[in-house]
Amino acid sequence: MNARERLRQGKFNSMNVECLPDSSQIITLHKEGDKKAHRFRVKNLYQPNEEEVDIDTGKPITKRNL
Amino acid sequence: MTTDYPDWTRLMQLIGADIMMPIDIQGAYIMMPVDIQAQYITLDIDITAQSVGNISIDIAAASVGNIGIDINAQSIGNITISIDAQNIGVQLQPDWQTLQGKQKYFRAFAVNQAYAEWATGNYEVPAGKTLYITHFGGSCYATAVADADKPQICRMQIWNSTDTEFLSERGGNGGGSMVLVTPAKIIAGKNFRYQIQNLANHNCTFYITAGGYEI
Repeated sequence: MNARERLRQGKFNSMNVECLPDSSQIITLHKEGDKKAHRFRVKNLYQPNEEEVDIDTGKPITKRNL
Repeated sequence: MTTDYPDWTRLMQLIGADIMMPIDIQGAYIMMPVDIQAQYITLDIDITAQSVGNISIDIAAASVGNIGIDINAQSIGNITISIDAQNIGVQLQPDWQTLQGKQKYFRAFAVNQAYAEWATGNYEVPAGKTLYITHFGGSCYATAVADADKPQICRMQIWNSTDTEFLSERGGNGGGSMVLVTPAKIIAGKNFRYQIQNLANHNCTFYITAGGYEI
């Protein structure tokens, strides 16, 4: 299960949102008992045009090795 | 046997030092007054029925162990509990849900933002869940040292943005916090939005946190 699915299913105890100047957000989810946090960067969360973007650059994630 | 039984009444009086009495009763209508007086009792009761009338339990003892009650019903009448004890532990719902790992904490922040800019977090409550927010708070401070002594005005709000239902708001100089006496309730499929806005006339960094539980 990736981080976005964890958010959709509410499988976390804490949610941290960093609002960035390009209007994207880095969301970090922690769940009690988990050894690691789950992070992703998203634009237009919960909107029809929601898009997960590269967590470092904020650019669209491109499919590799096609 | 598959035949129907006539009404049946039987009085039983059992006297003994050690009595084991498994009872399996299946009937359309059962009335069974039970009066147990003993020095030591282990009593497991499992009731499966379409409808259960009143259940009265009266325990008088010098010491009572754990009492586990698990009720699963579409509707329940009044539950009246009268406890007279020297020491008792009762968990309120937020405490209990946190103990069960159902706690939820939310935080959103933005760095070095101008007047009227927001930091906003969104969470859509999943199907079958209900989110209860019990508190929220935030802080706002000047990004530049030169503005550190100025008022750091900000405002916070938590709301159901799906229905444009504002649940609670708070403003202040430098931040503030609020405990909700009645938890803010957001049902499944609705978006819980928590946000803070910089209203100082200089750039600020600001945070909002909100917490509660989801069941």
